[in-house]
Amino acid sequence: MLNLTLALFAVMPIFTGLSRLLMLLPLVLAISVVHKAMKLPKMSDLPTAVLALWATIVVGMIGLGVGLLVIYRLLA
Amino acid sequence: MARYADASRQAGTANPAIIGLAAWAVPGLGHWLLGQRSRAIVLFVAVMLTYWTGVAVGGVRYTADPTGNTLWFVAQTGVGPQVLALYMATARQEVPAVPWPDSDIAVIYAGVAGLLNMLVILDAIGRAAGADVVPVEAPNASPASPDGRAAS
Repeated sequence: MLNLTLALFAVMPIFTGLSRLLMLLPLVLAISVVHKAMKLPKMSDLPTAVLALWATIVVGMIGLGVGLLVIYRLLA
Repeated sequence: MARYADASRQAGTANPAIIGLAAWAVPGLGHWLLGQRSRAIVLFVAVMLTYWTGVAVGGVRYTADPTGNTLWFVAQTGVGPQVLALYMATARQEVPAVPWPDSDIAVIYAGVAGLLNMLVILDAIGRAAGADVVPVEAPNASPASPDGRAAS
């Protein structure tokens, strides 16, 4: 287990396909947590606010991607 | 104008420079010193987890590389002296040859963590200096007089 953990810091895994896209989700979560942790007056509201912001960003980026793909297909 | 409602926050009670330095040294420490413990813990976990996820994915030597990823390394230094320590500890090792599209996730994670902590540092400095601090009012609250009492 320790060797596996150490190998993680020394050997670079290759992300392709869907796993590459899924790596976006934790990054957006971290951005949402930090943003809301700085802005919210009450920390008890954090989980709900973070979830809402996270979903908004992810859905927005998916929508943007689909929209750009549609435009690309139409122009191609 | 930023609006805060932290009852624990008192303007001018801490040296903003020291708070900023502490927030850079350890993410969230600035808020901790200002008495906002839960906020500090959340910020520490979020920033550190993001940075170390990047390092774990990309490997220490590749992620902390000021020659190959100069601007991203500058962004990473926002996380604190641990970035410089990582670089110095592994500087003599050979950088693995990895094509950019296969490695950008690690560098982006670590860089975004640094940029996020820069925002955290600025927030801590702002809270310490009491910049733009106004109490949050209820939507239908009556206007308050300068001494804080509600106008009759």
